Amino acid sequence: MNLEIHRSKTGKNVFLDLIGDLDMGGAPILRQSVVQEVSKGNFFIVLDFSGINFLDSAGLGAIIGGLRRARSHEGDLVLIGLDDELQKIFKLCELDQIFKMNLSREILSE
Amino acid sequence: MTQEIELNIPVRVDYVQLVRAVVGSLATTNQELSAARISDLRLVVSEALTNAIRAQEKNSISERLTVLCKLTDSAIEVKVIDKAKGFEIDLVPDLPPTESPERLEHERGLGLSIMRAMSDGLEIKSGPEGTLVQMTINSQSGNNS
Repeated sequence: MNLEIHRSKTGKNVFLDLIGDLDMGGAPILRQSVVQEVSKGNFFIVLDFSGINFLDSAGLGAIIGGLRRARSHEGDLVLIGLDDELQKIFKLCELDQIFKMNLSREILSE
Repeated sequence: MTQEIELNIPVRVDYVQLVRAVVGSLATTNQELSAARISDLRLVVSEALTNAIRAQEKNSISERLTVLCKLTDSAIEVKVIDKAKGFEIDLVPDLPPTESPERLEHERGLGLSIMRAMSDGLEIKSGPEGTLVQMTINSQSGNNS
């Protein structure tokens, strides 16, 4: 399944719910979405991975780029909804040391 | 039991997903391969194919890519073959450490380490005629499962 992104905003946080595969095909879609948010002044972005079926290094690249863009405006990009399989990939690449991961969506929505 | 398939695919992003599905489906016919190992397999195949597509696109080479998949009782072996101009594996630069701000400047360069970590065997032969990446996932291995 190609990547779909469902957007919502609560307070300062923009939630991007990712659905499908975040690979070479999905990465440009996420990259464009984050660029649009940052260009609109939304620098606090939450990526929800609950609907992600597959993630590879191309997808990781888009996420890394998103964090760079958010932080360049004193913002942040947070990851939630990662299952064990996805967390394994982040840990393998030591990206769990860079990203804030699996905070509660309820807390981020306050 | 040995099953083999050969796929010759266009140099197009949307075929990566298709190949993952086909290789994953073949792997499920070996009951000794756990779901976690099949996930590892889909990941390493995706990495190899992504690199192959990028390499051919970079060199404007439209020849089809070849994916060979061989399933036995003890393992599944996948070869991804491209017709790009090859690369020097020893010259692939290391990424900056995670604590370095420069790390965020690098959106690429993780595929090789993922393939190394997730497969039980990885062999890369690269030259001016192209690159062959051969990955093996053993059915009884406890690696990452």
